[in-house]
Amino acid sequence: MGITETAGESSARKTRRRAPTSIESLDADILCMIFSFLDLFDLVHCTVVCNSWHAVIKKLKLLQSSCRKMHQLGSTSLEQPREIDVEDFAMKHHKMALLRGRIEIERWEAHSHRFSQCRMKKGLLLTGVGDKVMRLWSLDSYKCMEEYSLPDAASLVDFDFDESKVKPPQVHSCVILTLVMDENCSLVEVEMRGFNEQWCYINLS
Amino acid sequence: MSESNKKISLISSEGEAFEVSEAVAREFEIVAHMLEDGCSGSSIPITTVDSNILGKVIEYCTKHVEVGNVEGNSEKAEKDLEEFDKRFIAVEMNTLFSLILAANYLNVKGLLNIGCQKVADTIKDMKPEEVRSIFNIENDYTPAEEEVVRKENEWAFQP
Repeated sequence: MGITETAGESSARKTRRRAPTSIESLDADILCMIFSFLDLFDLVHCTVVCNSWHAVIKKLKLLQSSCRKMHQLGSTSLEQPREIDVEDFAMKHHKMALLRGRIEIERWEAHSHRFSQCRMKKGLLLTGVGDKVMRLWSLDSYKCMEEYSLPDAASLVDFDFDESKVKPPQVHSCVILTLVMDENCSLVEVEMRGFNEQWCYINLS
Repeated sequence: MSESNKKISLISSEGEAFEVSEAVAREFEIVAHMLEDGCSGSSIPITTVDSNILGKVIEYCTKHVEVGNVEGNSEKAEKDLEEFDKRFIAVEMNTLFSLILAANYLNVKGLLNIGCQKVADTIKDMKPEEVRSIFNIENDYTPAEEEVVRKENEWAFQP
């Protein structure tokens, strides 16, 4: 009898002890630490989860401090806006992110050989190669716009394309990561990035 | 150096004793303070932490003390430690919360940090409904109240 009782007691105690620890066991300080790892959008989502989360985020002005953090990361200015409109800030930040974002890039598969010459002007890229063809590319649409046959693999420096022929497209997105020019202002290296981290690296030297 | 040989017993809430080196025990800031305050007892009760969790916290601290003692090739050691942390914290939710609570109470900063980071990573990119269901949080808003809170930052809920 005695043994059964003890066993029953200890298992009851065990169950009580093993009551699962839930996220609701975490106090405001710990929640605050967790929230400090989140960005503005996730934080706003958290305000909707339940009353206590909303209270913590609101009381500690976590949305505002998240803005401040982004603001400091985004600029070198030490000046802090006194009043922060969270929405306004978020939209601006979002817009900036889109401007910096990636855009689609297509593989340029036109030359039969690795091209050895390359020149850029107003959003157009001219490439030349040993197959005696020069191609004019739009950095806007990534399409080949013109093709020129060359009697000889002429030097690009001597060959200039007629801008009036093609409507120069606007270059509005930063897809070119690096451009390396030599002392004659000829392009020697181009590095570009597009969607899915696809990138294109052209070394012409 | 002599103190590294000293052993200290940490007693879990069930009364189970865990013998650790003083260096490991000192990773618990709460214990470090006790020792500095002249508490010379060789056994310290940790009444709010059960054996299962205490064992895990000790495992974490032991690893970090070990790696901290190795000199040279710190880059590799750091990477290993990162890997260890990642594996260590990949536990089910209830254990994760218990670890966070214990780390907070015992003041083991590194563990508290990776625990909170892990919870934050889980919350990331989730809708409020998903967060509730993952963490088993009861929605204590009335529909009208929830609407008001959503309205506060409507911009974040646009598709």
